[in-house]
Amino acid sequence: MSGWNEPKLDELFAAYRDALPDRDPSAGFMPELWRRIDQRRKPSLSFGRFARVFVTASLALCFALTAVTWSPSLNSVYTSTYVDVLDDDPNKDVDAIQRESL
Amino acid sequence: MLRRFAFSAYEPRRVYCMQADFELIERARSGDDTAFGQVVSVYRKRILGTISRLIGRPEDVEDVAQDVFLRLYFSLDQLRTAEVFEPWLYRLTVNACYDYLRRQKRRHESRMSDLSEQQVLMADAVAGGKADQDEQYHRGVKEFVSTLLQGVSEEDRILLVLKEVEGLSLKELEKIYNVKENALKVRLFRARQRVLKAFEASKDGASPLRDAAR
Repeated sequence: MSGWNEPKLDELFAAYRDALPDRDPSAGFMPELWRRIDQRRKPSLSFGRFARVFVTASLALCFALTAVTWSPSLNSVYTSTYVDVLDDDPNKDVDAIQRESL
Repeated sequence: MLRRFAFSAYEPRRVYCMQADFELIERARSGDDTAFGQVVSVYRKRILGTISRLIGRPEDVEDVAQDVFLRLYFSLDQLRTAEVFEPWLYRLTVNACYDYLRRQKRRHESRMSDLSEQQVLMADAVAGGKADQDEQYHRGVKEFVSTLLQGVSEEDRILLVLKEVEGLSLKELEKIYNVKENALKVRLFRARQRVLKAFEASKDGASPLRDAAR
């Protein structure tokens, strides 16, 4: 039923295209576009700058705290186990005898 | 019916082909502002035309077009290859038009209605004897097609205009919408049927083609 109107509809779409042809932009199109781009770029730039400053400051703080809390260990380095140390103790036998006599 | 639609004798005028060379797009993609400016210069006329046919409000066309190029500027680095630039640009255009139409809908369900504004303008022009015949004819066509397209959803309206008015192929639409060709065919067929019904309901005598085109 609707078939007979299909070509007319196609014609109408073609006429619609002719009624609204491609148009030239106004003289202010490009300047306005760059203004909008710059406007949008600014917050992202300042956010990026803030992020960089924040990361640098955090790293600096981290290094400073590490330097403050770090101190070289005064304990001597153990080269033998606890059992070895007891074993090497020259007084160990004397102590044992004294304890037994008591 | 689907078959007849798919093999319709009508071939929308396909006036477009890839306009900017890949190298220019690649340069713009890598952050060259001058190249980006050249890309905009190449495509702006065409994008303005497409937007004007999609949204139907001449006074807002430039604003929407700038929104399209703004989105392009900030998303160009996500473009995979320069070969898919045009479908990408069309997708941005379609999305910007959707957003605009949604905003408009929210702002005023009918701000004295676009159509009535046009009617008032036309009536004024006719009364003042200012409008020449050509302009009158074009206005009539615009008004008539806008009324017909009101019968379908915004999504279908845009899809239909891209296919029937802009003359994009199903393959191109597939790239723009990321939807299978068959699904697009069904959507287009239904949308077209709805418009066709509205066209027939207008009793045909109201068609501006009869009066002025012939």
